[in-house]
Amino acid sequence: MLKLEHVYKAYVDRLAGKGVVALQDVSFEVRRNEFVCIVGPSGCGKSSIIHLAAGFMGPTRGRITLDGEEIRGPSPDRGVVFQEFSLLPWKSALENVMWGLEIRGRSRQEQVRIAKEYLDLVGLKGFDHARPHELSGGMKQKVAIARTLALDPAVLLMDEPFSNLDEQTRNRLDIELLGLWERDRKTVVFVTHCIEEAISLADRIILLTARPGRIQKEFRIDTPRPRSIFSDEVIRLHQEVLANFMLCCAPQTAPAASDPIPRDRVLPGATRNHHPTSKES
Amino acid sequence: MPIREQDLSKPEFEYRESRSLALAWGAARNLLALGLIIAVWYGLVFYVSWSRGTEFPSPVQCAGRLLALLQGGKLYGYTLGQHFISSFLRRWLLGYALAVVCGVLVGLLVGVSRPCRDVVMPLAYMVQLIPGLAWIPIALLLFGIGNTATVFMIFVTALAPIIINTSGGIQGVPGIYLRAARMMGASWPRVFFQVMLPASLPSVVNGLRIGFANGWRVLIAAEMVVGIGLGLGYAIIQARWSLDFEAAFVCIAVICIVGLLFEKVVFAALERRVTRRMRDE
Repeated sequence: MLKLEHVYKAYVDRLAGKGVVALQDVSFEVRRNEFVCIVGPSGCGKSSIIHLAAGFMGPTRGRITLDGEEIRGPSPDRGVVFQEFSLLPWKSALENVMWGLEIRGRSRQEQVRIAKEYLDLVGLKGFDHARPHELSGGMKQKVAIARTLALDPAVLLMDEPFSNLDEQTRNRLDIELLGLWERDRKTVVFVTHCIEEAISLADRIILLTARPGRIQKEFRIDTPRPRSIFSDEVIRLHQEVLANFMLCCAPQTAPAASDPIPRDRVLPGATRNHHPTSKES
Repeated sequence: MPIREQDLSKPEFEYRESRSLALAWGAARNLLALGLIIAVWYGLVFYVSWSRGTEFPSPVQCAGRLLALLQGGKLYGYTLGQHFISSFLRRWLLGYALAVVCGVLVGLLVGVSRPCRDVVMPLAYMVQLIPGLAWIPIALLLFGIGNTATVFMIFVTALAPIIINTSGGIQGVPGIYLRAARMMGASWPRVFFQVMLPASLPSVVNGLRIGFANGWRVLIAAEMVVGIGLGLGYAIIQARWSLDFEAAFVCIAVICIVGLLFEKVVFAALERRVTRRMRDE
């Protein structure tokens, strides 16, 4: 459905007279109703993929298509949920959701009806008239999700939507997002730097290398949701993703040069490896 | 009841602070400022009469003179009200209104268009650096002695800060709002009128405020030089020639009070409105 073919993205800094390659020969296809997570270290071009798919910019080389049609500029077909808080501060939660519908040319009554429906859906019933500054970070992102879903996009592009939130809120929102997604299984591309988040959400994880971003490996996850972080399958997968992550993206100053996966320097997320049934640790 | 004596065994408690007391304290501090001004003034009265043997108008004398003038006393052929209206309505308001219209329009244009910005901004910064009184020869050459010359000077000194702040406001609109609007399919005029304009309002109001102060200052100074028989500035300079310092002080006080009223009533209210609308966190 959403297809990237040999996509390159380079940025130039005219003043410094330098260019950097953010994405290098990235090709993948997201199928209808698939939930794909793109994972990679910071600065690997994850967000560039979202911005390219959204149409905020064009690829330097290669082609991006949605249902065979090349993407030229932004469109409500491809709804984006941004990392930053993007609600207009002078509009209430309801008005923010209504605004997208107003742009789509819906009538006033429809705007109110649909906006209320989606605010209810994300669990913000009763917050219609709250202004963004009165909402918590998690609630703001929920309004942003409602605003994007109300546009009924073909693809939902989520650019680290919960990374500005604390861990507990993020976990809770991940679960709520899955609940929403199970309703109509919209096609989702979800960018995150958090491996656990990706494993709990995705049908497929695409792991990117550090800059220049290339596809390091893909992981298919067939485990039914909701997934327990303590299940063998998830632990095995977590280790596998992490091992690949360390292969490509471990800091250059890693202590043991002979050992590509320094076993004494375990990432914080990897502490759950010490599970009785886990053979590898 | 102080907080430490409240019932802390429950999660919440009623707590109301006397609002009138806080207001009274604020008023008392403002009165103290007024008292300080009067004290310094009396200090000057005694110092001048002691060291130079000349009489320095005291606050009481000036207040008496102000009352007399307000009751219809004439100052160089006109009442104080006529001087004020001439300064305020016929010169300042006209010049300032022109500056607001031109400044905001040019500022918006310059804010959205990079090429226009590169042309106009250096000029605006240059004009801003020229002291108000330095415009007198130009004003005289352009319009001769008369009302138009003073209106021009007010216009030209108020214009630059309005342009600079309006353009800054437009450029300071967070890119995320624009991206969100484009994602929802907003057309350019919609983005401009529904996102850029409201988001830049606080900065625009700031420009209007600086422009007001600039124009008000230069008006008085201009009337002293491009004098035309009527106006507060003209009255001050006449009083200085005829050694009627009391009258000069009364005019200066009127200028201060009107400026303060504008600043504290008109602009403070305007600013509260727009910043409350924009509050984000």
